[in-house]
Amino acid sequence: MKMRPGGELATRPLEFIWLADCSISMKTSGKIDALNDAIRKSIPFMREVAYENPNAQVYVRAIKFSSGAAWHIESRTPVESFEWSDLVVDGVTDLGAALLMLKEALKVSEMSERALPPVVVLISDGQPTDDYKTALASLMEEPWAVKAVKIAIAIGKSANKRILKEFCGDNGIDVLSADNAETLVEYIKWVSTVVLQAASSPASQAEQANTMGINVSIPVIDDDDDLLETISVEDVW
Amino acid sequence: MIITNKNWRNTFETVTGKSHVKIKMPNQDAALSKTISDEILITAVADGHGSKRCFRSHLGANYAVESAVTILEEIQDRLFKDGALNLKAFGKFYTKQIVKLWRDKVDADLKEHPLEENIIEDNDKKSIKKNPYIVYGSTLLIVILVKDFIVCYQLGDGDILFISKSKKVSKPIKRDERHIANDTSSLCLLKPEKEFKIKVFRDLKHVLKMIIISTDGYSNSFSSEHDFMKVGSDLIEIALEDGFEVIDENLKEWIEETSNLGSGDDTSVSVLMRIEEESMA
Repeated sequence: MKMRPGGELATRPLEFIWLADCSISMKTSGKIDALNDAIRKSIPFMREVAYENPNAQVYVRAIKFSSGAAWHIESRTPVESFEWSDLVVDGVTDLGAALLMLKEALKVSEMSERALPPVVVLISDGQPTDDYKTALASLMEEPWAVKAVKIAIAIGKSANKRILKEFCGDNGIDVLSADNAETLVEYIKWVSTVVLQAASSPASQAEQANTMGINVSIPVIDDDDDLLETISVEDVW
Repeated sequence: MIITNKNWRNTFETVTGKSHVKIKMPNQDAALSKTISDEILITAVADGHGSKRCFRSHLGANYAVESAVTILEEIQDRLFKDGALNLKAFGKFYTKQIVKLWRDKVDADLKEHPLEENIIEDNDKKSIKKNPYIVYGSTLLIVILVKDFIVCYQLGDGDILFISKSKKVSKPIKRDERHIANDTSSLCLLKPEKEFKIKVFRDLKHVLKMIIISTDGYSNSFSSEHDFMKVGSDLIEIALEDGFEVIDENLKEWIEETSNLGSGDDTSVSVLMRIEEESMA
């Protein structure tokens, strides 16, 4: 066979971005420890999904927010070499600052034209302390932010689910409520596997024919009855 | 298989991507070429969306390329008016007729095989009930070679490459910036005929030597636009050095390898080469 025409080949990039609340309230009842533990436990599952989808190259990044926002993992890290270092709590809940940082990351100039829809997972236990509304409106001016699969996990009962739902969009996926460490692990595992798997698919969508406002079909999360039986009262946030 | 008319030779292939082979999903792409007359040759590729909602898009893609060819055959007598290219016929008239025939084909299939409620996801039921064409959604790219004119049509993502005598590669239709993250225009939209991008080129000096059209599974397999565009200069070199038959013989394996190591998506490619250039070689 003659040599294949064309230059270098590459799989399609897929960005998976954690947006983690590191406000001081996350220390209560060990929520931050549970989050660190849950993300760390999800890594082998993420790698497994990535391995099973060799035509998508998954890159992981993470933004942390408390009083302001900062990159926790700034460089696009291939999932194969992704390691999680513990988040440390401090300050308030500047969600708006995190959304503006996300906006910069999702600008057209920063993204590959060939990229698959990014997955962004927002995890928070409280109320935003800055102007998140303006920041969210600004974020949604970016085409890649509109196309991103946006998931929100509310930790504990004090989390403002209405605001988290605004992040996901009216037609987006419902906010996931984690009221204990085990549920949090399950949800983090779900987004790291099922959602990642769905986003890795090369299927197209007619641009005006969307019903969910997202262009990735996410399977419904499993209700795990067994999970409920393993929780004790003191575990509940 | 090589298709020819007086001035051009063509070969095309379509392959199922690894991601679809894995889940035993049929090829959602389609490709078709036909010599309409000594002066007219058409080639078309289509990319069925392949998502859960578009579970008959493999049919939609085939209907798309068939419609493009059938309508051109039907209107071939109207393509010239008073010796000049009839731009009205090549414009909305042609695309509207394609859409109409595509919908007729979908309607006939729906009549014969009604959609089963139980295989449609709850989230999708409302939109599919309102617009069942979604289930068959597909893009469509067409190149028609008629006398000294080249007419290009593009609905949705995918690529058309022109390669000149000096091996310069260009895109006659620029990328639509709305098409990111797998979003695309489609035949299943409300007024798809309005979404067609149409370009007509006059090629009296025969500067153009090769045309390549492909579904997005091909360009998405390359690490950059530059690496993708290199396909054009490589293919014309192969044709000039070894003959067009070598492209015909190897095209399937090339695009299979490209998709496997790249996007993993279904991939269709059609290559047109001006005959005189090859005979000079």
